Amino acid sequence: MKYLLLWAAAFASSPLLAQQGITGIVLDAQSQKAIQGVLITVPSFQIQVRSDAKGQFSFPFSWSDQQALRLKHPDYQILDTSVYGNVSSLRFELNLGHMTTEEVTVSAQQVSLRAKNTVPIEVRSINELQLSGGMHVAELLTKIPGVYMSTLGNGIAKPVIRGMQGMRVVTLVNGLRLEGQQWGGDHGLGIGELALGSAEVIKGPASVLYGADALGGVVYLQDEPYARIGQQTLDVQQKWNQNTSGSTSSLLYKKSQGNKRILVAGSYANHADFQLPNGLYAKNSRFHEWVGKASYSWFKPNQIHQFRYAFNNTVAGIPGHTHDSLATPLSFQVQTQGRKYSLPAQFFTNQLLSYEYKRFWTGQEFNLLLGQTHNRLVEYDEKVTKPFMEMDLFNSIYQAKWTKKWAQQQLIIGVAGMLQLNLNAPIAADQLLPDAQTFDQGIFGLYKYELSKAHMFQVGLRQDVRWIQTQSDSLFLQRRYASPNLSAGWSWQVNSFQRHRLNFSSGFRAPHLSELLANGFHHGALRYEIGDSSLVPERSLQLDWSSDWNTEHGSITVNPYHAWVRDYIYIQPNGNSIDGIPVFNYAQLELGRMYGLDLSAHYHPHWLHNLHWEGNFSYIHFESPQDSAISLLPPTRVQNEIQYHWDFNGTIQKIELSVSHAWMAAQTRVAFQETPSESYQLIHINARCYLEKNGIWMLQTGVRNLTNSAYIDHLSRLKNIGMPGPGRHFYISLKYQVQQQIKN
Amino acid sequence: MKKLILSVTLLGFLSTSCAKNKCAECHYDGPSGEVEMGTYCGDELHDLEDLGTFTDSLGNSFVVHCGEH
Repeated sequence: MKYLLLWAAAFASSPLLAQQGITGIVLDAQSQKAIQGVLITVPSFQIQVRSDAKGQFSFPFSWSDQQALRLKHPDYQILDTSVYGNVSSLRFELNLGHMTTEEVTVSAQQVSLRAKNTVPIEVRSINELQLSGGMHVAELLTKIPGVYMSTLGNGIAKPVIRGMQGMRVVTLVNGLRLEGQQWGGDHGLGIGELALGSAEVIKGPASVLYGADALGGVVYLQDEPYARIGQQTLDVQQKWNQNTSGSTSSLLYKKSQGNKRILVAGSYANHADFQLPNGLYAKNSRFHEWVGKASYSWFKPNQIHQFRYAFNNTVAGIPGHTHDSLATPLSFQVQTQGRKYSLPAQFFTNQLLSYEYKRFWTGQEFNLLLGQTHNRLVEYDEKVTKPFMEMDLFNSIYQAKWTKKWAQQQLIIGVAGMLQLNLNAPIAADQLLPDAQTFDQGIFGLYKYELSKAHMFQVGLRQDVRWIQTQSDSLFLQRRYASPNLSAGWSWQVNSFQRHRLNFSSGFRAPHLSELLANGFHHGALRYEIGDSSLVPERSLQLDWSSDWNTEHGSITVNPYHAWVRDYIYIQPNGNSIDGIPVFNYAQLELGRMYGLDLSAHYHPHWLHNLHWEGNFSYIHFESPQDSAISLLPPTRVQNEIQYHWDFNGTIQKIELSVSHAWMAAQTRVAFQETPSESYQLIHINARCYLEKNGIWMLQTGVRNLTNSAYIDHLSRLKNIGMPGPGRHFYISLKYQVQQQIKN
Repeated sequence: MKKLILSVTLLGFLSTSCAKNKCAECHYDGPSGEVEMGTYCGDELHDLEDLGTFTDSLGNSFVVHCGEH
């Protein structure tokens, strides 16, 4: 670590290239007229500029290496290109049209176009996902095929990728790994949607990219871009939700001046118990949440520095608690909506601090990420003054990687590590996990070769080691787990309309302390858990095929996959109970097979350009010689959405209307003693209006669960107590943005 | 910038710690239903919850619950 810091310091203090700007012009390819308002982005530097009335733009600096550039305008096709910075002027031509399916991705350890990556990655803009009116990040991500969510009421939710969740899914925020006691089904993600710009999802094992635990997939969240150079913006937003009588207030300030950028944001949400379709309320499903975020970045020729801090504090009630001796679903449903703090409750605090440094040379790039995270999880069960569980989790994280680019080849070599400390507070009544430290160390390499314009392949290798050691005399454990991982992918661009991608990847997850050593009540999960110290690491291999067909008016993606999972760790009841709470044991499934299909399609007719239809289908099947299925296996799902937008030139700039329908099949393939779930359908209507008057206004409103369907989601942790999801409800959101040009 | 980061951090710690020093209404489950014991605060509340039970004049013990459940 010391040498890495010295390295970083040496690079930072090296003589800089003379600062020299780059100017350019954007023209219409047919008419050769200047285009105003084209957004030109350099993703590696996270810099944006906009073309003026003469189609001209300028970057206040240059770069020596070849960098990817994206040019975006609502009336033109997106242009993705790459240019060398050692030129004084640039000229781009855009073609009319608006259909595009390619996005820039960052989650595969490189900034590249989705098409230039053999790893199948789903990319979505958070702003687009928010049109669905979802309550939290996990719900927004369910618009992606193969991605579901696991919830415990409204306040606690996390993503599920192809049936895998919790510790099997690695979540990164701006590259920093989020660690928040993910082993618990009742422990949420701990990240708000405030100031988030995009979400990328890698479905399936990705241990070559992110090491141990990335067995089921990766969620990579990225903050929204800084303000355009020479601009400051202030966003104020207020949302109101009828179902929870709740509101969310947020504030976002961004400024980019010269070579410095800043982003500061904060929000507060307060939601009472949610209303069920029968008019009653889900007892103690209330929550309130504070979110804060601050980023500061500065760049110099060929280098960029970024400091980020994020804070999240959620106080969530834990539904599913009753003193009734004979509990029925109505024991957990009440006539009046509660907002006041009530037991049992969970206090969840996340703090993320990171520093990122990037340095570019001709054909080379160095990237360093240092991070410190802190998660505090406190659960109160029966007593107001004494927490049942209180744990602090400290993570010190680093990643350093070096990239070398040739004309058709690219090599990335990196090291990554994490030191994790889990500490129990002495005041807590119980310790479900002992005090312990975990140390991860990994080394990886990725090699990409473009055989021709049509064929590209990528191969990756990684070796990871994890050490776990408890700091308790009564419960001593010391373990070392190591695993090599491999990924290999091939991409075939048949023609401009058709592309096929084949990817083979492995994953590995060492058993968590909770699985090895748990021996106590876990009230959030309503069970007594007993671990097994002889558990071995889970391993997974996945073969993923993806075929894309893109035309001017539509696209189809067919994505079948097949995964083999060895030593899958699961938990199941052993038939006993302690103090009336059922006892669950951790065990391992020797071998399992998971296969499925993700389909997605998008169509907009030539005769009605503003109409869009998007649909997707997700199917997952799991089988093993020992048992029929694993618990919490997502059911088959079909989602359809029709969007229409109107563009205007007056005060009202744009109106978007969306009608979406989701059909969730029944799930009867369940694990031992798991409750099956019935099929259900949901219809949502959402509308958004953009206005320009002394700033930009965005008004969004909608109705969710239009038919007031009484449904119980298979992945809801409230399924066991017969608690349905929220009933029909309205929401409204108003956002105001003011922009100001500032002197550079 | 520094002030802002400090303020946000402080706010976070305050919001987690304040909720722990509350007053709460307590009751015990008597033979014929819940019996209210009134509001307890601070150390009194802490001591009552540590004890966990209420013993009546006849020497019968009952489980005490504090706070809204």
